Amino acid sequence: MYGLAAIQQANGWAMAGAGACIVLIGLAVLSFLISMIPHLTGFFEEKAQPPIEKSEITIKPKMIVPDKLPDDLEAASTVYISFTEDLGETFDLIDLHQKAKAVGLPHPYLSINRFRDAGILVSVGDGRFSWQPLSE
Amino acid sequence: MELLLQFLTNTGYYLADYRHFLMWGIGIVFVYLAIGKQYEPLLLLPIGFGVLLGNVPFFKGFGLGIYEPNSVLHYLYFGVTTGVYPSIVFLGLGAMTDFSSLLARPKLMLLGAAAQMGIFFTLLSALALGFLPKEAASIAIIGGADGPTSIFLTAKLAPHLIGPIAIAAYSYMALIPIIQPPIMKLLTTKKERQIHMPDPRPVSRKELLIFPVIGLFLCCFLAPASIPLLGTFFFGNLMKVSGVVDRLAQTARNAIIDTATIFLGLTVGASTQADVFLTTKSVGIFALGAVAFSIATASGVLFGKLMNLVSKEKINPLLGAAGVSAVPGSAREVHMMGQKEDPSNYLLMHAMACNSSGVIGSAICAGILWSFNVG
Repeated sequence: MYGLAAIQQANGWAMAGAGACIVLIGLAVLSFLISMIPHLTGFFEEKAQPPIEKSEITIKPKMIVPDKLPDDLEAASTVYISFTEDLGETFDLIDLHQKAKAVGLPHPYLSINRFRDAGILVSVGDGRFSWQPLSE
Repeated sequence: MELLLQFLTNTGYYLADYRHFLMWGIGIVFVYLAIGKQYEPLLLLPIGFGVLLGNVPFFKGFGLGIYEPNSVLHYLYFGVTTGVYPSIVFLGLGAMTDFSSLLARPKLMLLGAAAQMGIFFTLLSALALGFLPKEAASIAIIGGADGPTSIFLTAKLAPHLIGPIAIAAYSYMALIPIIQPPIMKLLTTKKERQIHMPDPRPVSRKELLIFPVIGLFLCCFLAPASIPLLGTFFFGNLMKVSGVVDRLAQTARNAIIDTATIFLGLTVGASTQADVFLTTKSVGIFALGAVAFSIATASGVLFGKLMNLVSKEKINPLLGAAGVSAVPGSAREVHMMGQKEDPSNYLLMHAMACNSSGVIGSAICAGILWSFNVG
């Protein structure tokens, strides 16, 4: 048997339709669940934090983030250095980028690239970087 | 004298006919493509040599051929017919795959799902051409562009077609640079091909650890028949990301997958004995394989365009072509085409995300088709 009759006979339309729907829905659900993982891990991390005693709460001075970085690279790097002190002497570029994004510094990718090109941000091996201000 | 004559009549030279030489021609082409052109050499070299090996004429009944019980080749072929080799290959694949770009942009997984539509279109085409349902399902899975998955499903549903289906699947995988670019170009505009994808966000170790467990839970519960493939795949990946069994992960992605690939390729090649392989069905399988692969590529690209219509964040529709699970060939093609239009456009890691979801998608499809055709 050939043609549409053969498809009909083998229940082909149902197999193809159901199969396509199952795989599409299955991967769509998996994709949705994957997108939920960061929220899930974030939620449990928050839960795992020990409750903070009221007396321990210290009010940190609010950071003032400039809307625009100075054109001078060295001056711009001082803004970055001051915001990333807590990363330590050496750090990963991902951490630096995240920190810059978190405090709202404009165009972190571009700035980090310019610092690297200018030798202000230098590699110290093993994928770690450190600041090397030009005046030093 | 009689002894000498008896010996001569048992030699391959005496027993050979034109079909053996035809198969030797095919085997030599495969070996040439692997060595001379370096097209998928890891696959085409063992398969090509296997074709030569399987088509050495011999006196039936000596226990030499791959289809003769108790022959050495038959024992090695056992790993194919039981689905052991594909399962081991998936273990190694899992231990190699980095899911971070997929986890950073989960919606790319939909492209991996869309590219599986080629499988179901080919299922209908194969049925229409008169193939039996189990044969049609085995042929259709070629559209997933995944050699081990094709072999696995065919071993379960239509073992007599393993040779032609495996050869078709691996041939089309090797021909990705020829098949996919014209389809991608035809279905996209220059502007679409130039769309840049934003850098993916960093993915935490916890996410990487949770993914194989969620993946196993969802995919294998949905299509339990995919357990032999996806079970080992996600286990391999968990070994990789856990960081506590580096030695095992290293072995899985090197020695184990290499050993399985060698025996898989060699025995699949050897299974193409002229009398089994040279049939009109094989011609049909090759034609349908080409259709399956092309439709899979096209459906991925078209779904990418559809996503752009309904979503605010634009994605490069070329990525849809990487939704087939030919890792990493199709991702490389997508990246190269993106770079051709705009040299500053780096699509590789996004394409790899689609590629890895294609692997999952085609294994689910295999599970679905197997369960539809049980009994």
